[in-house]
Amino acid sequence: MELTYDDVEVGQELPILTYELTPERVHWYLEEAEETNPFYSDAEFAKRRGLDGLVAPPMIACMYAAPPEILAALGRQFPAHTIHASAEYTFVRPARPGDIITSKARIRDKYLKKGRKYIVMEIKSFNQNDELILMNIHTSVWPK
Amino acid sequence: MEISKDFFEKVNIGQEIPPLTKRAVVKELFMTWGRGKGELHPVFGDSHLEELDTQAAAQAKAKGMDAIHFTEILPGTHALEFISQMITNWLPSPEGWLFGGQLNAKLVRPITPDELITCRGRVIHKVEKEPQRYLVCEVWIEKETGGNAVIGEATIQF
Repeated sequence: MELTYDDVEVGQELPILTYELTPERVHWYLEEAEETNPFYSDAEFAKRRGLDGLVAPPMIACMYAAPPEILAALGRQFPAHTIHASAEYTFVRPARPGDIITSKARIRDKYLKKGRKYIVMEIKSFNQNDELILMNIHTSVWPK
Repeated sequence: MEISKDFFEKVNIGQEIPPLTKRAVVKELFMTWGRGKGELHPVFGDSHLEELDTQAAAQAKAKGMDAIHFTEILPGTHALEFISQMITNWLPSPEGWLFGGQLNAKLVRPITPDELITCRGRVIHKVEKEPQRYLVCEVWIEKETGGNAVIGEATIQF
């Protein structure tokens, strides 16, 4: 069932998503993104470059807790032809293989502009130590 | 890190980030970026494997998936991942991007499957106000078919 512009309210909390960032998932991600930077696959290289071990690419948390997944957890979906208009990411600290990532989302804003309906979703992703990994402000244009 | 300090001191406003060219292989990316069993993503339309008779469906089954999601455009997040790669390829150490980096972008045109895209960037601000040191870079993605798909700014901490 589609989630329309009128269905959401500013401040509305959305379902929490939790998943394990297994080494296999990180590997798939690196492979499919054609990411060959050794920071993400060579622990010794990462340490030589100032990291304390393997990390995951900063966008990985976005991929596994993107708005479609969040709406799916709500039992709803975007209306067809919803457009991802903009994104604001703050990479606070990297996720690491083996982390349990919990993403909490809410409706930050909704507004009309030049006849179009905009919804702003704020998604915060945390690791198992309750440390903020990523802040994602996702703005979409909703057709209805 | 000393290597990052040296990099920051030597970088100039107007300096270009080495570009990164990618082919937007949409279906395979979407299938295998961790979207496994039972995960349907209806934004772009959805299909169950049992209704399909395609090579993609066979590949998905082989990977243990029971759902697949076809899309006609590259999801915006995928395009922004490529900008992130361009930046980490440029930096001697990714610390300043992974810890405190920011990416603000507008998705202005769709990227179609198999399209060649080029990520580009240039330094537009260099700020050194102790204890803060950071670069602000204009970043964008050019489409093979013309125009920019993404425009934005990236901030890298040092």
